[in-house]
Amino acid sequence: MRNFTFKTRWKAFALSCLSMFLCLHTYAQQTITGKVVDAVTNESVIGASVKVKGTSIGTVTDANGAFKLTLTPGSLLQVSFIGYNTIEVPSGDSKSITIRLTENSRDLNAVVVVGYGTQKKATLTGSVATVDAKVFQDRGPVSNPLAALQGQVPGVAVTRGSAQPGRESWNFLIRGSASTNATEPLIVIDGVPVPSVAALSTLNPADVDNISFLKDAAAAIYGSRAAGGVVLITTKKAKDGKPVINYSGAYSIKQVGLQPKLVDVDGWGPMILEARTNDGFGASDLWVNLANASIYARKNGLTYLTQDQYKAVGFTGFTDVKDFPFYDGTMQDVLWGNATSQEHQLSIAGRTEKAGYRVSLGYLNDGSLLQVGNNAYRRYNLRLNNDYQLSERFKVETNFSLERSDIIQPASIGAVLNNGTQPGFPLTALNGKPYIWGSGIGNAAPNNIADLGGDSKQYSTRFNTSANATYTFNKHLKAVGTLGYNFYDADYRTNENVINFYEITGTTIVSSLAPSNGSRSFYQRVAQRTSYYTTNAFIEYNQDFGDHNLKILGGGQYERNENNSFFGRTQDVISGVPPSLSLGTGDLTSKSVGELQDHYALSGFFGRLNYTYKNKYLFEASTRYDGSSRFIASNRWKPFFGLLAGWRIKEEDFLKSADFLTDLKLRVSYGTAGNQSGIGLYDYVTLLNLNSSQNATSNPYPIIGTAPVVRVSPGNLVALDRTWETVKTSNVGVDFGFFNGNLSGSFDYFLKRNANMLIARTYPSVLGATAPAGNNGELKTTGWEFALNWNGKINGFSYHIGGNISNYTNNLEKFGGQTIISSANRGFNSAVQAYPINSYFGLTYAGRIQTQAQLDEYKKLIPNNDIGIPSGNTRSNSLQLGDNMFKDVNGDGKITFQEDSKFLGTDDPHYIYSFNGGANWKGFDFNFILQGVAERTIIRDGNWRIPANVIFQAQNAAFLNNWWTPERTGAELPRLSSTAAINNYNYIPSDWSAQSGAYLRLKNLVVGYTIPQKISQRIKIDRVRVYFSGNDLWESTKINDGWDPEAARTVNNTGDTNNNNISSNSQRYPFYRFYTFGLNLTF
Amino acid sequence: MKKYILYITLLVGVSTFFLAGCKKAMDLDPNNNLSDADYWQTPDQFKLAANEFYTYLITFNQVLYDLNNGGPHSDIRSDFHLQTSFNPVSSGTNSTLATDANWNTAFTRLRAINYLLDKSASYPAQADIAGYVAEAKFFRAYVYFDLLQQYGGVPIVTKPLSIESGELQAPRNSRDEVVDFIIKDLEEAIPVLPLESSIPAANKGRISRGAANAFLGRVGLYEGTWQKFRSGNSSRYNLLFDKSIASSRSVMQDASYEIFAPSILGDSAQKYMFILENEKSNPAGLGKSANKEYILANRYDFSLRQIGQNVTHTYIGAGVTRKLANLYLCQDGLPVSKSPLFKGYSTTRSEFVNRDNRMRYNMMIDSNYHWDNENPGSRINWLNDAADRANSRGRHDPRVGAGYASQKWGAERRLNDTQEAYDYPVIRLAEVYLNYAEAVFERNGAITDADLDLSLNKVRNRVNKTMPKLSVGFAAANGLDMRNEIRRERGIELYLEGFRLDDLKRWKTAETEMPMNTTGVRWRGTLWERRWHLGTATNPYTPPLALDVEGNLIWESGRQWAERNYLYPIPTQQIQLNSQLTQNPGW
Repeated sequence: MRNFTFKTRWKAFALSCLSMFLCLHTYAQQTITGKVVDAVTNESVIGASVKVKGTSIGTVTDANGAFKLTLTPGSLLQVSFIGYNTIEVPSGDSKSITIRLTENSRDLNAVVVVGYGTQKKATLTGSVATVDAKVFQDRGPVSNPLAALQGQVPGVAVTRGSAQPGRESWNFLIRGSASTNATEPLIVIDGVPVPSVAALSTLNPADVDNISFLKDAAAAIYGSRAAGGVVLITTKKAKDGKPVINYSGAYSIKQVGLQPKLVDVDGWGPMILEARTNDGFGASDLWVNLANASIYARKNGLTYLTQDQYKAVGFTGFTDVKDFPFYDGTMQDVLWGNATSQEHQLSIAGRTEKAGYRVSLGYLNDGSLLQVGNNAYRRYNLRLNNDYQLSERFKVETNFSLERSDIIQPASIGAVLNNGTQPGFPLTALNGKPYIWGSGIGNAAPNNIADLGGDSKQYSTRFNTSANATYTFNKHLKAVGTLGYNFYDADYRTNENVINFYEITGTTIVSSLAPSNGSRSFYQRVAQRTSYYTTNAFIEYNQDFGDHNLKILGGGQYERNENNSFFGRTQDVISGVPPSLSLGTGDLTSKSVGELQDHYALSGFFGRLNYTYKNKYLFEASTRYDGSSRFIASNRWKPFFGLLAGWRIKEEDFLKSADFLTDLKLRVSYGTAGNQSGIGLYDYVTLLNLNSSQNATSNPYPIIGTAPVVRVSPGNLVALDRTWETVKTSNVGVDFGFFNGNLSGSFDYFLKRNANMLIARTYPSVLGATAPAGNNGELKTTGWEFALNWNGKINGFSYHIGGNISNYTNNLEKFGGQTIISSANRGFNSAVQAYPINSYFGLTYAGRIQTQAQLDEYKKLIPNNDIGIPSGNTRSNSLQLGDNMFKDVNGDGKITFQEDSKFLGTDDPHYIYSFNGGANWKGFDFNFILQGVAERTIIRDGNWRIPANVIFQAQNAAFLNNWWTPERTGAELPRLSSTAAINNYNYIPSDWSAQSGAYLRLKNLVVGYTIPQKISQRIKIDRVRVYFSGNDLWESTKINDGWDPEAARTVNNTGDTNNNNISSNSQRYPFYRFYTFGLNLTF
Repeated sequence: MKKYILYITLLVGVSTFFLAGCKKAMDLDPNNNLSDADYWQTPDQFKLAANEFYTYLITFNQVLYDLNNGGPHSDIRSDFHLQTSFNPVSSGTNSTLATDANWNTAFTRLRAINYLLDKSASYPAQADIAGYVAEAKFFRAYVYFDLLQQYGGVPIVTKPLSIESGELQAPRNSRDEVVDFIIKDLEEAIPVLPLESSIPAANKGRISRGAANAFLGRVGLYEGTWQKFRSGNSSRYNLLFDKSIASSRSVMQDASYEIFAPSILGDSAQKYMFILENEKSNPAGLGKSANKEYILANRYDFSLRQIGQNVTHTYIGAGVTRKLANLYLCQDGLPVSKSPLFKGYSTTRSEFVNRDNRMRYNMMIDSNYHWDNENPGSRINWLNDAADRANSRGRHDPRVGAGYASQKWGAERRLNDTQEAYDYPVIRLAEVYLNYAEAVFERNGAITDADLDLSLNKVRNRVNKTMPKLSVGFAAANGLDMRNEIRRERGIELYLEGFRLDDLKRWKTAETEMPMNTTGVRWRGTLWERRWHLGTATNPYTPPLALDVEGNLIWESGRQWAERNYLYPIPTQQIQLNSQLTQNPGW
């Protein structure tokens, strides 16, 4: 049997050599036509590649599965298509042949992109997951390629922080964190690394052909940047055959998903009254007065009271405001609503004998749920991928991508989304003028701030080019050189206007405010430019020696990043005209400039050896020697390596006859990779800080003489002894296939150990400076991934169903002895020795105080507690019925957070799983992805977490009337209070205040229909498909405060330095449900 | 085979080329930073480094607020001020902290100071940088005094440390050692620092000899009384008083400084000094240059540096305790308990009659017109006439809190919130006078009329021209305790300037003063019963708050003060990191 195969191959080889020879001499030619069909269904296979083996002659099948080729008689045809076994068929004498392809969903001959080359999936030794272009198809507008990867790749956790168009902060981790410092995966596009994951945000998902995720020692060949795993993205290239034009368009509707509802004024008044009364505040209290006034006004149908009316009715306090508004509705209703998005993609690809080309254009216009102000994201993509066969030995490939994106948002988005407004405010004064209650910006109507406060725009252009040359010396040896240049230019323009805010009648200006800058307008422009260039070259040697195959690769790489930005800012711009730095009307002190420059370089040498015996025993060793400019020269260079082995058990004689088993492979690997993200770019140089004042409202810079001082202060301590973090990854995996590949799957177990992690070292504060990070930490991460897929076909009905689940846990083995558990940040402790990173700690809830006896007993725990048990003797500073109790776990007679708290879980998601399935039948297709997280702990931060805690702000409706009262002793929440001391105590981190972040969500659902070709061809279109796609249509969640289960614990966000540091609060953007109608046309 | 040798040679060759090229391409020096190695070459560079220290001066944030445990000297923590939410330090319920920003910040500052001093040692022309070295020493004393007031004895650090330094594990130095260190630094700095009169306009605001002397006066008095009232060594505290007296006196003799009392402002001079900005900030059209009382100020400017806190809105109407209200003397120089001029509490306005003029300018009176920074709300002509009143924030309605309201630090000119820009007086002459009077009294157990006239009476009579001076005879004749009267003056004059809590601590009277209920106006039997009640048809006279035996509104009861509260606790994390560091007693 084996002999026969060998002979056939040998024959084929000889034949193709011959045919090539004949070809070159243009001997007798023959034109044949044929058809490629599915061996089972007899349906035509469209787009299958038909090549004359050993030549560059080839084509693809048309919409009928038909092809036409001119060839030398007796040629060998190689026919391949994704999902089918590639077969070779002699052209024979016949002028017309039918070729039957058998489906192979787990395409064993598939090729997987790995570091500096490709490998056959069958002989792959590493833990490499792949996805193909299908995950991006028919999803509707995908703003970031990562958006489509949720639930697709076992071990890859994709997260998002916001739904703000263009600022979703999509992120992902491969197998969790490898360090307490960032371990961003390295992204390599078409063989060229890009500077950061952020570079993905503007990549056109429609251009992606496939993605490989290198999860274990397979990544070691990327050495210093591989600690977080490596992602290799290959963009689409021209396929063989005639030019293909593809158009796809989609139109989507976004609908507000899960977000907290707020309490309107009808709920707010009684709530505040109750809270203040609970706290013992009497009728003189200004909040009691305001709450009573709101109840009075609502009862009497008044939408507002003037200051005089307020006093006349007998209410007191708030003498500095002009009126007291009590309008219907909440800000959530005003700020958020539906939006639409659309996307258009056009590509043309074709191949001639010597060259292939693909041109693609993309356009995305992503609307915002934010209903006030200007907010949108637009993306324009152009990609040109060309390759040239310059000679038989020399091939050049060029990739060019231009990615332009525009983001526009209200300049003071933070002030808009801030929940500072108390319920009852009108949208405008009665005559439509902007409204304010009192004089601070926190009391202004957010919609007015959004509409009139000015815009912040970001225009960015990313220019990604690479050229790749391959020279083939002979069939064993080739050299490859790559040059990449990634240029990023961002132009930020922020303009903030002064808004005249009025009292309720709109006749008197109460205050004139620029939302973030006091009473002065400003315009700021930031020009940011990053040049990243990289070059690598390697030589590859490949030879078979009988049953032995040897492949050796060696080369070097250099990459360098230059970051430059500068800004100019002027205050007091003329309103109503386009803002310009030249149009400031202020004096010289109103203008400021600044600059930022930095750079880094990495270089390395790498080598890899692959050895296989009988394609059965697989072995790979790789090494890398890396240097980074971040370290002092003496500690700069470090070697990394990877060792991988595989055993294709199925190929053993004892399993040959096991027909039910299609494939069985065992993989083991061990490798090291480096990380250096925990330190600054120049940390080995002693620096000084130079600070100067920017404007009257900036940090305190004292005035000496007549001007603010310019100051110089010592910089951070330097460390000369540190070097790369080294992450050691071990992996054991098994791949299997049953029933002719219909059932396939894989299981991996891994262990990652970062034994010299860079950590902040805590020294006594007497040191007077932050101690430099040192290689003193250790993090251990273990985890597993499991994936299982079934493909089946019943007559014309084909279907697939599958799922994957993965989990990891990490433990800080060493963290400088840092065992202090803090109750700050809601018990969120990012790093405590002997615990996972991003852990929550909290007290043990011991029930609610329901009786005086319980109260008296619990008060015994007050002396020397440090959890702020209220110990005064008035209602607002003492324990009362309805307060929470916590357990003195160690029984020492006092409750102290450090000693009595316990580990509650981590903020990182665990047991990430997904189910997917789909079916095709007579032109109809159906696919779904359910994605979920089985375990995550959240203790929410932000002002909406406690009812009435910040009385002058909006209140979360999820808590309304859910608190303890003497009549409602079984309520979920403790007694209502407006006093920080009471609330801080009751809501101190505990197993009671923690909630489960587990969820299951219908991530994506697609229903499509392909019009029969007979019909579509009448209008000269090869393929017409229409579809409906929905994202996040349904979920099941245990979150009880109204936020989306995927939302961050903080539901906040700090500012962007390039946007004037205006806090964006973008995590408050609700996630949305997404309904898409799309059309695909292939010509 | 030969071919392969060729290829391998080629590979090695290319790699070597790479390595050689890369080595150079890997040495990247910072291109946007200041490198320490290039610095410290000119006096001007030392000046920029000394400028950093001016950010250490105390200011509004630490005195008028208690942000994130940030105001160890805040008056909010004292017994004069009412807070809607009780302040745990004031209530005596504060607990130990794992980390304490005040502790950390102080040592960060000391590092910057020691860094300059360290670099100055090797500078060739010492004379050129002597002024900056002296400033560094002043600020080292300033920071250590802050630490002393908070924690008592702390580790003394005299040079920038590294992570290998043994000082990191050093125990606390004793209180005496810290005090001696402060005094040594100040005494070294004083002769070098310039007199105020010789500081050129471009350097106004820098530390003067007068500022250092005044500060030494403060330190000597603080520690002298601390020791005296804790049965310390009398020769030590008398020495401290002597130093305090001498250095205060040298400031009092410096003609550069004088009490701010422009006659055009009359009895409102003190009020407008605090909110002095430009000519629009006061009725006299004065600017900051008219003020020679501030010896060391944290300086602000409307267009260059605004305070950034909502000072006016926070402090117009802020609650004041009955204790402070009762401190104000009557115009005959006698306290309310003794003065025939006192009109009693029968109406909501009666107690303000015939009182120290500072009372009506620092507090708000029922139904009087008041102004703030609002529009309308702010002054338009300062005439108190119909137009000015029409634009005012209206008549004061006192039915908030416990009835007493403050207006110190409230601007009257039109400004948006947080844009106030008056200077903060880190040290002002009035304090020097009061330090002097107290130090003399505590040193000698008595004070002469001459010394009182040289000091305390200048403060008291600034806006009370006709009030009898405090004198030995006046006190004796009226049965007044001299120590009490000196302390009374201090409480009134320096209210809301960050002294009260530290004064109670050094006098060791906090244990009696702080646990007292904080109370408000006399409600029972006065017009307040009608003015302000929780009226119902059946029972119109329900007080808004509980009443004490005298019928005063109680704001907070159950306050406590234990011995341990005299010092703040050492942050527990620091003790974990350095077991040599001992906790303050009782924590």
